[in-house]
Amino acid sequence: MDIAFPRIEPSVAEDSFRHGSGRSLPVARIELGGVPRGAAIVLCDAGALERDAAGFMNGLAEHGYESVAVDLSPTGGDPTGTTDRDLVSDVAVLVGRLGERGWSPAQVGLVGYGFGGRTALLATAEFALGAAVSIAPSGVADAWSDALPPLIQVARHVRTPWLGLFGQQDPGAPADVLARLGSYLGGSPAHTEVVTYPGVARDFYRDARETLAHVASFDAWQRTIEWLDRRVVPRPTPLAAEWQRRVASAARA
Amino acid sequence: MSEYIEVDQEIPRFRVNRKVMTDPAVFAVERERIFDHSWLYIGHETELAKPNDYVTRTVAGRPLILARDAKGKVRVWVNSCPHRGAMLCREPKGNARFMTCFYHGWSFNNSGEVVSIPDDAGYGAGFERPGLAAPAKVGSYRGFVFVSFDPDIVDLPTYLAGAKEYLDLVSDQSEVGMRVLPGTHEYSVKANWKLLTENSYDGYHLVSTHQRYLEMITAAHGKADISFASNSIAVNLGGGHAVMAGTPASGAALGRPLSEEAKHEKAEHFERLRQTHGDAWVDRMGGTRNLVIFPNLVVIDLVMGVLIRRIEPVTPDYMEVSAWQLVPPEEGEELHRQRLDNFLTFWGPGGLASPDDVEALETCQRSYAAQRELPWSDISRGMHTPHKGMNGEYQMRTWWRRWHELVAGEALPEEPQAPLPDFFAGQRQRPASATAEAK
Repeated sequence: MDIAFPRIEPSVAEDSFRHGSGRSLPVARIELGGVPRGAAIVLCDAGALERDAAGFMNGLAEHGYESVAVDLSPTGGDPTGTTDRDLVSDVAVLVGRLGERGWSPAQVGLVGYGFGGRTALLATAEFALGAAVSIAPSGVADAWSDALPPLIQVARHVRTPWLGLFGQQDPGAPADVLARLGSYLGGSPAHTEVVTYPGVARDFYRDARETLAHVASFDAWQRTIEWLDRRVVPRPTPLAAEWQRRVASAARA
Repeated sequence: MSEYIEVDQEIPRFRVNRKVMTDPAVFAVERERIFDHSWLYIGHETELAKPNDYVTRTVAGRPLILARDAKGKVRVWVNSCPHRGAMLCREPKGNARFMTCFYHGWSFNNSGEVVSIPDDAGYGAGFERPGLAAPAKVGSYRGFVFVSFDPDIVDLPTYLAGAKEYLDLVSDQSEVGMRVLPGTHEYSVKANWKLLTENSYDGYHLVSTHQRYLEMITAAHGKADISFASNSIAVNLGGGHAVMAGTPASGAALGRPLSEEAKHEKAEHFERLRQTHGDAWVDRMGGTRNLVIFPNLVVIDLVMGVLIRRIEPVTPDYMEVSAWQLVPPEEGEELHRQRLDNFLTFWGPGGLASPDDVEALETCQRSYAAQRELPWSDISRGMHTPHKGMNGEYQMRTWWRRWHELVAGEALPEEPQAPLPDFFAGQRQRPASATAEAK
């Protein structure tokens, strides 16, 4: 049964990443009324903000997450020489933007696709957010550019629970490299999981008629939402906040 | 003397009426008087490696969640939404800071507090938001986590009595802390649960039941030397707990022979342990032990592997068994490989020993259909002497005496036990960081 939720058109505006890479980038936003369950940062694949952001953000909104979305990939000939440090700083800017709306880091989920998935994994080593998911992260075995080495070389133990989703036929994420990455990340203080979908390529998260592709895209989205729901700290409703105050007051008495 | 157990000190003879293996009324009394008032093993702390890790277990029929909360504290919760009852965690293990009921979407953190109720305005401001329910008591000794549903039960160290020493002998085998390996052996037996507690420290059945295993040992070693049995003992540890313990000779006799590399590593490891714990303790450590902690926890340190076995009674004639292996994580690859091989070869559900035990117990249970014609099982072996060896049945009588005290409300006469040989009385030179903590 399909439930047709009203589609929300994200607002898109240039935002300054002056305290990050120094760039100015378009950022899409969906802000929800009432008491949203949590917030999410969506890091889109290179060049895919316009194509993907609204769909991902509406999907998150259906589960109570308001979100911001951005494409942090280097543009054109990358004259700025964007580095991993720049990318992680840009994520910090976005975490700060959500903080301005009252979201603590533990109430924020980070979801990255492709290039954004690569950035999401790097950011989880820096920040203790609620949860993070990298979907088909690129640049796992191969360098994206001289300034952006392969993830297998630069990934560090993570502070945010991290889920990595991969297509088995993704040539950029060979099984032996994924096994090494998963084993290394398993030593992190935070919980990590790597899931590989058999018989699908790198774009497995886009729905398709072919059975394996459809199953992979459905499962990947389901896992993403469950990963967030199990870890992102929910914002209390006014009644829940009042209940917490009563419990705390009773405990002090 | 009750209808369940008959003790004749003159013959001497100790008999258990087979109705205790089949009667639903006895099973119900066991649930109420034993399982509602004992400390029951649920899992090992090392199964929860990271914050928010959890496993789900059934303990005394109750679905429970054993979790490490976001701050690292071990918690146990009833796996049921306080709203309408659906299970919160439906997987055997996982990692989650929040558990959301799939029925109506209520969400709880792993500290047991309700954090989210969908559309909570429907309840009004005065609604008392229920948290997760928990067993009355949770305790841990050397990483072994127990629960009790009795708020008035004695503390865990008192309950464990002399069994603590044998948990120490197992736990001290690592310099960095023994760990449970990932994965669980799970199998069921169409037999009463008490038959497996008996079997777990029944030395008498080794030669007759486990011929297949001994043939393998004979092939691997060139002979099967079971003379160690004469130096092994059975010990009453108090509280219904008992152990069948052997010298290092018994450890060497079972299992496939170690490679030279593994022997060397093991010798070096034990030498280091001697520096910490002293010769007397490490000599004992090198021996074997089949320990049953009343009522249903089995810890067997035999065949170069430490087995933790939990027996869950389901019906009078059906039990579920879970087993894990406890290992020293600093062990090298070759020794570890051989440990796993020995573990699977002997203990695995498809190994050369456990299936034979299961077959024996299931035939016992089937034969109890003729209990009117043959009402008694005999557990008298070794009763005539104070020297209690592994081939006797003193360890089982110890268990049955506690069972009888709880179920029938009557203490049966004790029997004398000779002082322990010096070897089995050896102590640590320095106490390890054994801690028992009520949580």
